Amino acid sequence: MNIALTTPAPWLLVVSLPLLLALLITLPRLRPVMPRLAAWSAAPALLLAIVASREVVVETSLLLGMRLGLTSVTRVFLLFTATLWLLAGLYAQAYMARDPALNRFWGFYLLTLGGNLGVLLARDLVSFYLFFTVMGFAAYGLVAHSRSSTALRAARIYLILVIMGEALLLPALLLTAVATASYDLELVPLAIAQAPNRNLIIGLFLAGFGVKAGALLLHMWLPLAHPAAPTPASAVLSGTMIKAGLLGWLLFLPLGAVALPEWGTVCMLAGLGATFYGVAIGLTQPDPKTILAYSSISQMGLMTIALAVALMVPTERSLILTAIMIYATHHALTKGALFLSVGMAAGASRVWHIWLVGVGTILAALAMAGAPLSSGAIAKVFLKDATYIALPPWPGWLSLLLQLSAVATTLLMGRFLLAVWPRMCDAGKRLPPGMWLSWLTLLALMLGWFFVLPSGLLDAINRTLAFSALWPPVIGALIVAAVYYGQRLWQQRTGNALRLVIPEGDVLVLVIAFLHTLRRGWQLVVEPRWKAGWHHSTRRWSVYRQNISGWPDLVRMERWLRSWPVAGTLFVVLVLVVLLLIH
Amino acid sequence: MVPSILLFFLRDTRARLRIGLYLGAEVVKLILVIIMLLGIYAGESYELRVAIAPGIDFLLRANALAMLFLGLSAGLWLVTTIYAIGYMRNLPHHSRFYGFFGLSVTSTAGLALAGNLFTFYFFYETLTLATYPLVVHRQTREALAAGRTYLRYAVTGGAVLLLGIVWLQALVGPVEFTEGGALAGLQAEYSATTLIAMFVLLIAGLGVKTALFPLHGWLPVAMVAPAPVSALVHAVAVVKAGAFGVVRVVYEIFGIALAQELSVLLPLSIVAATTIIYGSLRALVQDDLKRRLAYSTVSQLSYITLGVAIVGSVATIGGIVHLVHQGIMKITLFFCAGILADTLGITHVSQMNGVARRMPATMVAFSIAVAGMIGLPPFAGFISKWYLGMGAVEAGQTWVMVVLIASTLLNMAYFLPIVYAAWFRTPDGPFIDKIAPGRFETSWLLLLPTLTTALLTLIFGLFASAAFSPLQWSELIAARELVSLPQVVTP
Repeated sequence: MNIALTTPAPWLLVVSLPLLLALLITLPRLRPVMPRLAAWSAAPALLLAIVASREVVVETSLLLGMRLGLTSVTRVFLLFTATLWLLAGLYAQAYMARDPALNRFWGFYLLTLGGNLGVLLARDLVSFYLFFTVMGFAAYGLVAHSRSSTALRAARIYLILVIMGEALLLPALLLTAVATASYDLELVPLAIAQAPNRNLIIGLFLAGFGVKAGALLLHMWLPLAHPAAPTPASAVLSGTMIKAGLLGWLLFLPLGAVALPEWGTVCMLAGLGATFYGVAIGLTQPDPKTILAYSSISQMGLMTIALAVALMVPTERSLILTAIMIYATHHALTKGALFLSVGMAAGASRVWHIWLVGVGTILAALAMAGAPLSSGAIAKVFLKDATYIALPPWPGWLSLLLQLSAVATTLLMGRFLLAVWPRMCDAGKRLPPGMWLSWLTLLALMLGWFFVLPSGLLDAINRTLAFSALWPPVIGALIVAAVYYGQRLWQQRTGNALRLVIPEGDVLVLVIAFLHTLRRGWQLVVEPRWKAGWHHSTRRWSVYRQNISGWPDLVRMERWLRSWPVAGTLFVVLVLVVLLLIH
Repeated sequence: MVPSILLFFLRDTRARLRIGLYLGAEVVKLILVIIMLLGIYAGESYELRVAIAPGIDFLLRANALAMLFLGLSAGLWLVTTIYAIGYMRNLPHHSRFYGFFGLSVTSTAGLALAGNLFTFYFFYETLTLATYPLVVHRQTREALAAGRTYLRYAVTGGAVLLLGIVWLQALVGPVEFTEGGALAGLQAEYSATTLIAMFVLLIAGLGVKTALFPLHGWLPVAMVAPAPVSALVHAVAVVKAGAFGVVRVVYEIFGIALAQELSVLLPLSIVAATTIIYGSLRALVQDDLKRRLAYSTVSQLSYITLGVAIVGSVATIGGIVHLVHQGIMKITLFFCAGILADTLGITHVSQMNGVARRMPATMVAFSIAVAGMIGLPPFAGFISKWYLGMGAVEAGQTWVMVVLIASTLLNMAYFLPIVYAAWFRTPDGPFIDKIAPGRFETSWLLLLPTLTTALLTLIFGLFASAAFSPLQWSELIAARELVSLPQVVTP
């Protein structure tokens, strides 16, 4: 279906509906119906993504001339984003039903949703920034929702990184706006490619969006924030919101306009680093949601690799974009399903619950690991094709490294399954139909979404059965089994378990330790001297204020000046001077 | 149209106690201002000239720039009066208060319309004298001391300004504010040193009121004034008189081309940037809410000066539009501070834990204004910051952008903890009401103006491209003021 939506009204409605509902939630009278409305508020966006014709832009007079619309890239992003938000919303309606702070949750949920949709629909720089900011700050409320000290800490660190990202993005956007001499996003890549200070702009964008995308070393907030948020919120955080960072890269970097081998190398190294680093740290984590967060870091690393190739080889932009879009869709749906599975597993109270949830979770984990005929395998085929065209010496290395990363992902999924495996809960827990429905729908979509691909692309499905695609998951699965049984054996023999736990946020610990050292240094070395100097000067001031003798001359002078004869004479003299000046 | 201008001054107050009359006058004034706005937009001009002495005219003239300031003062005066009616119930000396309140707003209107330096100076000094009784209204020791400090700064600044004006008049003859610069084209006749010295004198005199570092000392001290006064002082009356004066001097006396030639703009922008950072740093360590807001004013005001000091239409727009935006955002913050102090006796940031549970509407207004101050979209402050930043980049002064980012971060550092404490912390104990709460969380007379200005903060940002928004008006001003510059195409 291709309906041309050339009036602003439907576009504005899609974006503003969640934001307006967020406002309405403040009215106590409307609160009882709000969860039902809020859960469905992503539906118009999904509808729009399905029916809107591919390339369309409408102009409004909001802000500095807000433009909304879709391109072929953002349409794909909107499809999976709206789907995941809708299902997460329906899941949340059941999952959060007994939460004491229900309205607060939905308020922040709606704001974040509005921001996320806006990021995808914005076709001008200023409104992109607006929605990106709204999304970033509103998600704070989702992370902090439980108000436990861990959640508040996670939220604080999240906020600090959001603010850092803002501080990098704003100058990048300002420089871009001037370089483009327009706010139109369409013109941005070319303008940046021709800008004299393009390296500065590109660096700022890479780092600024990198915070959101969980790029290596900017990922610190992710393993803290995703587990802290309520499960449906973690699903959208990990499934769609980090993709907003990726989309930022795709929209603003001069892909296809100019070859940037240096930046390509930077991204390649960062991407590879994140891919394996995410898995390595993730394997040591006990909390299933933290494992998934690290898996997201690792998977975003793979997409960064594709981005790196696009930076190196401008001529193959569309091929790489396709790979990224397919990978992003796969990751969004699969990661969403995995997060929702965590919530399902925690509520299983019957034997058939355990079986059904267990099987579904295994399917999702297999898809993430790239098992044959799964969405993960297809996504990896496209990723592989995209990396063959990288500048030498990368292609040779990459084919091996990608295989290894598939092994690593399988390991991580194995670890996840062991951590999440449903255990029988007391009967008090429950799994309402709403949760079942949205979880099963998401699983079904995850299993079958790639059948909507055009037939030329769908051929890839046969290649997922090739040996090169088969062995990594098998090896990974074997290692998981070996380690699992090995550890059990070890435990039976020695009576204690092997444990290695790295704190959530890994390098964050180092950063905080460094900051503490700085602060101690400040307190020990600088502060005493500074304070002494301060006291000295304030004491002198107070002495002057209390005891006039401290500064006799000045005070006496002011007294003298204030006395009538002197003041009068001075006034006359001043008038005379003025008169003299005039003539 | 001349009588309409005269009408502002008919309302010259003193013993006007009847609030109805007062409000009536305000509404009439607001309507007149709107009529004039439409007229100016269509290209008309209004003028009132009374010769006082040979060569010295009392001249009121409305152009686009004047109307921006006049509109701001008329609009905010109305909301502040409503607020003041609610706030002043518990304070004595109503007649004195409203008298001087009206007088100071009249001076502001006069300042806005002043057509030459002499008239400007007349109202500038009137403003000083009229605000003094407002600052010391409580007549405590502290208030009187603050008043003395205020007078010392203001009178000295005024004297320096006078010196500059007299010198200028003596050299060039009567100088009228002219779009594009009254002195433009005259630089050949006078030595650059003389002109620079004059510029420094004028700006230093005005800098006292606009709280340029290091002339800002009076502003945080003057916080002892009652809340509506602080709100008005910080938003429109005193500090804006200075900022507006700076705009007038740079654009309409010297003209941006001449100022650029004299290379006085870079030092000015450095002073402004220093003030921005310094004010924010001082704000960071204040626990007293009003003091923190005061240092924030010091910082934010210099955005205007900064915008003026950067050559180029985009930065100019950013600076001028901030005249209005800073006004509505800061007045909202002070209204909120006043509500907190009046209703719950909260004066310090450390007492604000969980206060949003008791006063959600007030804290919503506060949070909106804070977001505006930080410069988050879609609020008004973002528009200013965006234009300033783009202007700086366009003029090749990337360091200004760095200052803006630093200021943004500092703004977050001293504002967000307040918002966090109010919304996310649990209260330390039950709040003690100082007045009986009515239907709303506080008197509606206090709440209504606050919510109005908060809403304006949103509207001025979100609908910045609409006709007659401050942004559009500033673009009109910039187009008229910068005739002497080659036009830069703005997106």
